[in-house]
Amino acid sequence: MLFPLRDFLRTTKNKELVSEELSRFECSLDPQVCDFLRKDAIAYESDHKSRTYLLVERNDPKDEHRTILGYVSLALTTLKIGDTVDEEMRARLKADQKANTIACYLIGQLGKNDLYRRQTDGSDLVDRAMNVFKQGHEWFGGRFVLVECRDVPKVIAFYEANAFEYVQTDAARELLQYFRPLAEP
Amino acid sequence: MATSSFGRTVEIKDDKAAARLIKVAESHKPIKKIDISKEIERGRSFLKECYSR
Repeated sequence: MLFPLRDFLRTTKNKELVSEELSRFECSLDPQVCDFLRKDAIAYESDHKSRTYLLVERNDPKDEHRTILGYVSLALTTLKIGDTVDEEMRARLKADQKANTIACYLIGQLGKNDLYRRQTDGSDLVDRAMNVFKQGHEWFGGRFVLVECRDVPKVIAFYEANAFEYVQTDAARELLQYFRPLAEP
Repeated sequence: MATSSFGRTVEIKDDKAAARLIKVAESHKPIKKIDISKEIERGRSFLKECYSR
């Protein structure tokens, strides 16, 4: 089942307790995934920078701890079409004419918990993220979902298997930018 | 994924990237349907069971 971190904070009314639960999350493949959940996710939630969804296994409610299988942190983002991009392409992308921008969504972080690695699949998290975005898309628009990732074959293969397509590289940050459409053509 | 991705404006730098993005826009990638509201509601009920004692 899915816990929005926001609901977790509201129900417990105890930031320290939630923080302690999040601190039990382990991700040896990418320390940044772990650090974000442990150190930043609550602050990002409070500042409305992102929304984090925890994939949790149902256990005995009397158990002291929750079983967090994985998580995904989602946000809004803006795509700007560069000034040098051809007029016709700009028109085909249907960017806002004045600002040259397109409203998009972002998967900012996504990870599985090492402790329960076999109990879930990263694609489960992507599917849930896409359904959350789809709901937003129906209500107030947005064209694409963006994910930025490092140039690591396993990570690239994962996003490509989940229908994301490579668009460009941010060389300064050494991140590849992959997109997936929300609107049907 | 990268924490630095939050709060940034991403710029499509050139025609090559724009052409790739047009290809993405014109492709059809069905989304596996999950009743997300139901799943969140289940999570909410479970949270109440766990912490409303």
